[in-house]
Amino acid sequence: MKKRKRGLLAVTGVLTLSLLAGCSSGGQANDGSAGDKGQAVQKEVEISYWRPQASGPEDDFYVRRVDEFNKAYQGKIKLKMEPITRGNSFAYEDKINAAVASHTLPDVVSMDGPNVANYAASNIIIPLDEYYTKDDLNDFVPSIIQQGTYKGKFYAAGLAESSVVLFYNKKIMKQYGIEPPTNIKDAWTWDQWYDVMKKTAHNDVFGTNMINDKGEWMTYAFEQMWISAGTDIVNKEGTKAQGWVNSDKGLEAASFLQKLAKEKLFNIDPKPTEFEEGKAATKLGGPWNIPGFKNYPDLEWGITYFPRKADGIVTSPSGSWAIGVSTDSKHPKEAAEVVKWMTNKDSSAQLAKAISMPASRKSAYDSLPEYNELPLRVIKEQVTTVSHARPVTPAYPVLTQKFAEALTDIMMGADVKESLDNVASAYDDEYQRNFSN
Amino acid sequence: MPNVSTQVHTGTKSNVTSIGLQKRRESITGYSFILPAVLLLMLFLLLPFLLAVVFGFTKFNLLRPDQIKFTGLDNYVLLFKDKLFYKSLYNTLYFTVVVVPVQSAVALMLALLVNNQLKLRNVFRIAYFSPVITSMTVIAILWISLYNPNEGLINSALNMLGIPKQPFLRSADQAMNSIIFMSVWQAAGYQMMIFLAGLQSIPKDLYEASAMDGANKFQQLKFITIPSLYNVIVFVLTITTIQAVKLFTQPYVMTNGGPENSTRTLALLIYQQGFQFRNAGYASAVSVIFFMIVVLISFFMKRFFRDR
Repeated sequence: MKKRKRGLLAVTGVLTLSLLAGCSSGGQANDGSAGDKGQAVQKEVEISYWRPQASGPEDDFYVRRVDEFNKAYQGKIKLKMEPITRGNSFAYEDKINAAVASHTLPDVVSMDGPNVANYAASNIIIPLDEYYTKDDLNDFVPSIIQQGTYKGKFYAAGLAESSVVLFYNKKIMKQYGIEPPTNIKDAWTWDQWYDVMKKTAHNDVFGTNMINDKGEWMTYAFEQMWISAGTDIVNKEGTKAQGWVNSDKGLEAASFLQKLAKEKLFNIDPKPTEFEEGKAATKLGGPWNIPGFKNYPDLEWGITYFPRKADGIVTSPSGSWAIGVSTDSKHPKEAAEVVKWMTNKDSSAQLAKAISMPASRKSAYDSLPEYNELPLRVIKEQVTTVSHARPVTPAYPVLTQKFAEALTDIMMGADVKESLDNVASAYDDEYQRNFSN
Repeated sequence: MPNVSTQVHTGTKSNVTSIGLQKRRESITGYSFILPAVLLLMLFLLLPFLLAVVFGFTKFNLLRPDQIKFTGLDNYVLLFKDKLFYKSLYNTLYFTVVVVPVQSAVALMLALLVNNQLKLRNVFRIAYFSPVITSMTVIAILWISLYNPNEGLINSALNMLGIPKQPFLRSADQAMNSIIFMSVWQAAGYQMMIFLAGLQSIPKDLYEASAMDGANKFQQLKFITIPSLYNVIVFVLTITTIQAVKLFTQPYVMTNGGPENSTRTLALLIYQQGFQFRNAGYASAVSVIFFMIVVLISFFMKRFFRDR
């Protein structure tokens, strides 16, 4: 592998040199200084960038912003972007793992928020503090800083924010005389939500739709039920799951999910468009679902808050894809320019619009007035006031896999305590073995 | 070329040496033909395997290749204490023990069915063979919706017969059997093709002669078809076993090893530990054990069939 890379490097090196020679056949090219012909002979730095494959307006955004970047930095930096298939679960992460082992990571890399700590702890991304001014950092919403910070250093900037809300079908609500709350103080409790499901579920209509996928989604969405109950799935330092994920409050949250499954209030294998087709009265989903609703003109939808535990706090998931610079990069300064560009005010606002996700920068909301009114107001309120990031721990891959597996099992009827005990011991073993030193 | 000219000019004595030369040249040509294959085999089969053996004795996190540490037999100690390893081993063996005979029997029956003079036999052959040439991932996704516990096609069919809805992939009791059923359906066509080739090489006169002796269809099957197919059967059983032990795609796509690890196989365990948890050392140790199991199985199968 290394040899081949060296060979490739040699070939590209020779090509670059011959190109340069062609350009500067006049005088000697001094680094950066202007020659007597008035033109600085500067090598254009090529920066590679990986991001997960998206579709529609999101893809358009990336292509457009990369084009604009290349125009703005013409002659200095050439940004080459490569979309990588993400698939349904962890295909993108697998690709990153393989690239780390073979040292073929690109200069700039997108990563899902909870992986930041793992990548930082493994030394495969570099801190960005020196490239950002304080004011610039303060412009990010707090959860972005929280997600991107590991052991006091800022490693990755969020491209957008996210949230999970409860969508509802207005027609079905009207039919049963249900008024979903529009004030965060009145957010439904689990029991109230359960009653709504009980009322609305019949025949081929489910009370809710809440399985996006059985991978990361399970942790992303349902960890909040642990938080709302007053616990979490690991302790604050991220060193221990025993007594957290399987605490009494945790068991209660998991049992609630199992109850919904047992009473068939949601479909464990739903069609992706179940809610859109009117086959589910409510849906736990995110802003990313909204663009697709347009394809269903019969659907009248509204948004309310992520349900909370009766005596617990209102909280909601957060976190987004972030972008950072790999340790392998030979041009960290130029790579940081790319990171800053992809997360500046314009990018933040444009991406937020393209994918109808909340923006990662406060200043971006200036150009997003739609977030001041219902239904999107709910999202902005959640993002700016009650959101919690996923655990910042280097052993996150094991945590999320085991937790997602356990929750899926629980929904299919497995013993609640046993499943969560397994998560706790698997996580604690892994942390002890690999990260405790 | 120069060799030829020397051969012309020299006498019988050097003719002997030139034959030796010729032989050596031939063997050099022969070796040079297999050289690329051997090199590639070493590069992509032997080397990774040796590396896996080495990594099996280390603590090796995929994201930190620089921090690799020799830990002796630690991984193996862990492994033999790991409940999930035994569960995966059990699942793998269960799948193999059920799939190999069932799939081979189904394949043989299909082959017998399409090996007649029916007008539509090509239609049937294509029908049975088409799942084989379709990607397993596609088929797995298809079967997820067929098996859907709420609105799957299979449940609708059961419903019409008055049988209650079954959870299939979403229950620890049924998931593995559901995977077995779809795997047999998918792969039997391949073995059918091999059996078909075998069937067609059985001389027709055997059947004619036996018919004249008054043998019925069943006797013909028992005393002519099966014995004539013996070598084909051994081959089919062997490749089916090796295929079955490597079970990965179906559980990976359909259940991710769940529910309650009831479909976690050794291959899936290795993948999860190695690539998702990044514990390359531990995953290597599991794959070494896995390799030994496969070798043992093929060894015993070979002995078993040779003794007959």
